[in-house]
Amino acid sequence: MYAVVGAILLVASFGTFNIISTITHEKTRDIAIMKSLGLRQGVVLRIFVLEAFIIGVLGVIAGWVLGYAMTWALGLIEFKSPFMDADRLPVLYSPLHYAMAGAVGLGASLFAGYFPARKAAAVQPVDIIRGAS
Amino acid sequence: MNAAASPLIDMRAAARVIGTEVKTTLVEDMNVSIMPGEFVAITGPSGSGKSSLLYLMGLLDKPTTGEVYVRGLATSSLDEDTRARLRLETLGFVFQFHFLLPEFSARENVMLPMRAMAQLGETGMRKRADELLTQLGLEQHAHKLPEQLSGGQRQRVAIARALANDPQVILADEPTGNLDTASSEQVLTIFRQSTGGLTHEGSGRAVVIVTHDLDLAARAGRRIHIVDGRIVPL
Repeated sequence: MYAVVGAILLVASFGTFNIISTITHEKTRDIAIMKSLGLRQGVVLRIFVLEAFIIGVLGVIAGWVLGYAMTWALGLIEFKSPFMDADRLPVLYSPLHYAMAGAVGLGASLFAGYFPARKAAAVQPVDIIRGAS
Repeated sequence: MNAAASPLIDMRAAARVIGTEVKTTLVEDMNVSIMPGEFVAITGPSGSGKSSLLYLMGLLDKPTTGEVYVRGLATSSLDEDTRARLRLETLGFVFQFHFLLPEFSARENVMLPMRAMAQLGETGMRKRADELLTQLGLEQHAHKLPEQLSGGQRQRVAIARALANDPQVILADEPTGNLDTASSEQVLTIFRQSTGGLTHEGSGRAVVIVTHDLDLAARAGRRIHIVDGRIVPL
């Protein structure tokens, strides 16, 4: 089961990474502006990692709520099987699974926020400003 | 201008060359001093190196040879964080495109350099931002996002942001380039008033403006004309 869950989390992580790294990449001009005003590279990096963290936390909470609701709905489905006694689909509510999914989601968000932001924060603001004007 | 004062910005034989295989000289042999209280216009044809000169003065770029001194401090060998701190404390920038952060209100944009400076509390920063916006006639627009403002209003917010940390030098790159005549006049008046003002250091603030507009340049106290990356006499 963990292989299936792992594959699902891996695919979801790629999605998260793509979205957050695209957001950060689109902010390159804003990063250049902040640096031109005198914000240090470390401060700019922290802003974007913090943003990725907030997005990650919100995503994890939304994922937990949605996952719980879908699992609950799945548990309502009635069926009859000659091979088992239960008349509904058996579902497992494991805090461990929620914790694992949350950790992977948050990790992917931070990873996706940190590396593009580090690259963007290292740009010389003049290169971006020249290109924009 | 106080003749006894030392320059706020002093460029000595500064040159900027870009490219590795094909080298392009943006500016060369730049010897420019900006004194407290001066209003200086940099003019020249497109591609002559006006903006490159301004970026060197503003520590946004490093000279390939020569040196740029800011308040007597040689800046070429400084690390990026120290240069950023010097920009934050000493210089204010206004660009042709306002370059306001789109998700922030006018007030929040003005507060941004103050946040980076970290000298005022939240209330103090908010008060200073509102004072600046009021001085620039934007008190009714403090809560608006840049997209809700006109071009002239955005540029005035950008000026308020440049003034936020009470800089000793304002560097403006074609600040009226995208504005109508009335807005341009308003921006120019703000700069002229700003030049007369004393900074927290007690010296007169200097304003350096890059412009194509010769009428605007004629109203500056001094004009530096650049052709092909070199200063030429007028």
